[in-house]
Amino acid sequence: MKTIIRLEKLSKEYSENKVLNDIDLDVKKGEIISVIGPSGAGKTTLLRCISMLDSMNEGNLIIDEKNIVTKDSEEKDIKELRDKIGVVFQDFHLWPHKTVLENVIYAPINVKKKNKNQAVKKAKEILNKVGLSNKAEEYPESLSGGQKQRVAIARTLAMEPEIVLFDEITSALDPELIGGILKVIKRLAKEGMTMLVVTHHMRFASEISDKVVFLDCGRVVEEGTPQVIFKNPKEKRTKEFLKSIIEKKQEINVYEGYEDFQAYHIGLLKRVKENCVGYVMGAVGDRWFECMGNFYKEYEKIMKEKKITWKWVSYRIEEFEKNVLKSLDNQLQISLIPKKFATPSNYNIWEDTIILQTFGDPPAIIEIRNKHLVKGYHNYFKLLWDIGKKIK
Amino acid sequence: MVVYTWDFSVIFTYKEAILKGTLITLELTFFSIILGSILGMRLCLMKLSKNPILKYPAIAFIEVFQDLPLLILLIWLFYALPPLFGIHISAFLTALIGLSLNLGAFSAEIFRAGIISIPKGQRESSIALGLSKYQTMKDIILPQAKRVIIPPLTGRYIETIKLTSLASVIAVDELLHSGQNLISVSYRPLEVYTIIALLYLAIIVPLTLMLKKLEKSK
Repeated sequence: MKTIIRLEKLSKEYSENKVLNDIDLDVKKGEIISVIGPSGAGKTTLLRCISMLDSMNEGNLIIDEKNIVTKDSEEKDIKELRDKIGVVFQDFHLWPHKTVLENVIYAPINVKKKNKNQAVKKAKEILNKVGLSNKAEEYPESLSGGQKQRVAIARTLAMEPEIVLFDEITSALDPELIGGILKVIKRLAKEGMTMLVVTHHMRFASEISDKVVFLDCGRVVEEGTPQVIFKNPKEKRTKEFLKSIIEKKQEINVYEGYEDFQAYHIGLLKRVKENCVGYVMGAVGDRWFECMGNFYKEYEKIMKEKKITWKWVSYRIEEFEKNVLKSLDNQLQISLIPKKFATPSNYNIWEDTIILQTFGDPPAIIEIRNKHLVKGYHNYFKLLWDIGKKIK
Repeated sequence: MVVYTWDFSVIFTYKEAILKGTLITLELTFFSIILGSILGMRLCLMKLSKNPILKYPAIAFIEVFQDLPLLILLIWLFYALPPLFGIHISAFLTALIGLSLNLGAFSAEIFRAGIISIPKGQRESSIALGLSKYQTMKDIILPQAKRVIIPPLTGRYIETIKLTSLASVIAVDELLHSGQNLISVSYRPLEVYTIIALLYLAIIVPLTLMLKKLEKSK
């Protein structure tokens, strides 16, 4: 089987920082290789070196068994090789001033010098394959993230590359949009397309790959079939990484007592980004302010500094709370909802975190970090917010 | 209070001279804009280049001609070109060179701001698809940068119209200078300068309005 890409002792430095270190890798025709590893491992740099967007510092890149690219290769020689290698980027990088069809046909016409009719015919076939034949005349801005990414794939495929590199193409997308993309890649796999996929979807990697490469700190730590890497890794580092991935999916923590309660809230404000909007739902009563005690002043100070706002849906507000709310001035908006929607307890949403609070003595916080849940709760909150009568 | 008696008859007597002055102003503007923009684009690409032989001269050039007052530049060119370089050209050409250098330096920065406002990914995805640098610039970067470039560039063009009046100091027969000639024969400065001011406005106001419309339609 022909070797499409061969890396020999490839190294890459950024300002004396070794990002890639003596990488050896073979990609044979029709093979699908997944590259996994923690962030900062050098996965994207590896892809950029193979696609010749970055030059390497040491080593060889051999394309199609005969074209050798080194650090001294000239731009004009590299240019000829670029159309053998397609790249799909994390952030799509579609051309916003061109329609979907124009995006797909531009390179075949202007680089491969195909005639327009041929290019259009081919482009329509490919768009059909990625399930977007009805979007040909639209501009990228009217598409969803998942659709944009499929256009980007189509644009790359239209150049008929020998290998396609995918750079974490699902990580800029909402979870529900990822399925469509993965389906497209699976279909390409069935058609025998050679692919190098950088991903952190472990299940996906194990389903489609012939070989999985685990990269850490710029080195290939371990490579093998998905069965070996995912079920039976030999290296300690691989085991640790896979374990951390599984654990990261969801985190639940419980904080009990006044001290933890206060420290948690202060810490939360420090952790979230500036201009963050926190969603607070349900009955609060004045217990929250009591539980915060003297820390309330600091809480307020951080809110002001970081321009953090609350959006609060409640079905009743006490006189005491009204006064506090007034003192909060611009930092808070509130919406009063009809009592029939009243929520039984209090929960907050701050970025990727859901907080459930109980105001017993001592009070407690249950923290849940789960992207999918947060999304659902956001939708629910927006609904309540809209139903409610907004007061300020 | 002294009551001034306006007498515009002089304008009608010498309307041809004024008309000719207006035409020269327009010509000077037109050619400066074309030359200045071409120069500006060159300078911009040079400054964006990684090659130091192109980059640093461009940076120096832009700095010098942005900072040098145009009036000084024009006078200097007018007196320096013949003895220093042995170049004998008309006052009109001298003014054209001065204005183009000035516009070139300013428009280079406008083009550059537009080009660097386009995310790096746009260029990279183009290169990865095998587009040449020229194709990438012409078909991918510039069409997108247009929206950022056009408003300040049009503003600069309008500024150039105003600056043509400086050419009067090196005796280019543009609008202001033909007015001054007229005054020396008619002794009617108030009328002549009023008409000249109105003529400048007549050229510039419609353009400014067009520019505002252009910005809104974006």
